[in-house]
Amino acid sequence: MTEQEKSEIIFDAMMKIAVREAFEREMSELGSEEADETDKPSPELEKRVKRLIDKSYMKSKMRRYMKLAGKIAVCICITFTIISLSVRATRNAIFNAIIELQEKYTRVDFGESETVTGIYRPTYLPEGFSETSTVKFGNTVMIKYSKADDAEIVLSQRPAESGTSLVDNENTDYMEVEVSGVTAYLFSGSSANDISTLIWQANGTVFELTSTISIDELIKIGKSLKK
Amino acid sequence: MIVLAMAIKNHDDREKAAEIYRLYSTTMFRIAKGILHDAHLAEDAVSEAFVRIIDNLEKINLSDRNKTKGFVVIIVRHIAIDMLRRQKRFVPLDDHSDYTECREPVLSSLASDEACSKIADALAKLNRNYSDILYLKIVFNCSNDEIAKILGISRENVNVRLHRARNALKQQLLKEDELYDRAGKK
Repeated sequence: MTEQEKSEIIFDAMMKIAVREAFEREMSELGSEEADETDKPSPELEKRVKRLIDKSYMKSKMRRYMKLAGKIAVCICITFTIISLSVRATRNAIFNAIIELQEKYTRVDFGESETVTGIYRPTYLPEGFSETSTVKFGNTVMIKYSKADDAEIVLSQRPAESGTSLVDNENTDYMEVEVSGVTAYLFSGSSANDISTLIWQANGTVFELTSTISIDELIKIGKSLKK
Repeated sequence: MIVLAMAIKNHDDREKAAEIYRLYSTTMFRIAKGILHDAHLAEDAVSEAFVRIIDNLEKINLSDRNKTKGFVVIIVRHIAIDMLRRQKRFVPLDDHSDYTECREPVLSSLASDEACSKIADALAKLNRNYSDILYLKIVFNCSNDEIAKILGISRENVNVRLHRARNALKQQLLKEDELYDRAGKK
């Protein structure tokens, strides 16, 4: 090892200690400034940052929901392939296994019926929303509507025979409402930033509407679905 | 434009981010205002810093107050300096770009704790972008990829800045030695 290399190693070792020392010094100097109550940010900044936090949380929940819904749709698709070859007991076991894997989710079962023959779309959407994507997983169709401020509405539809819906019940209140003459299950978000889910069955199709928009708007969209 | 690639995964994260704001927003605001000399711009910097903080929330351990404060301060300072640079077309990072290597500062004549204090003093006089990247590397043990994500710069830029920071530190030590020698000769 050359003298130059030795000196580099010694310098680096000392630099590591010195950087930690400089950091501690700077933080303690900052600590003495914190007692000063003057020159604080405006309340608007707090609102702005709160909105950022809420938006991030909402997007993360939406992403989780979309991912989960996609996985479930794939599972259901696979399950029905197995059903045609297997007995009812096997089918139940598979469904239970899928459901047990999803903690914090509420299960909603519907009776069997005929398959979806066309895609339903809302004739009413709250102002500013437009369709941004349509994804098909087996028999399930998921349509996403977005707005410039990042708010989203997800409409999922599948044949009632596909059986089970899973709803994220974290921070939601459950109630039954009426949508176009049938009973719908509404899991409304506990706060304005929580996601609400409306589930109902009509004409052999199970519909799920998910969003952070108001429950009145959600029901209005649900009532407006047409093929 | 702010890219919203954020990660508040649950209520705990939400509470954590809110707590960071409650504890450090004033410090962050003052630091940004000290650089930008404008309250509105300083608030923009804090807001932008929060996007970055949310994106790196898993690296923050609220129980270590000093490190948490250091982390948010580094982020807001970097953003404020960047805003100032964009405004004034002012590029402070090029201060030390003319040289790639420099001779070694003489530290062997000093006791190790004295030498470390001398380096820490020199570090405090460096461009903040240099000291901050050294903090992230050494105090926070961040990889170059992590530093790139925290500061919103490329990995190559991180490598260059780390190299320059080390050289700038040596340069500062040499400058102080020269001043000391000159003062001694007078």
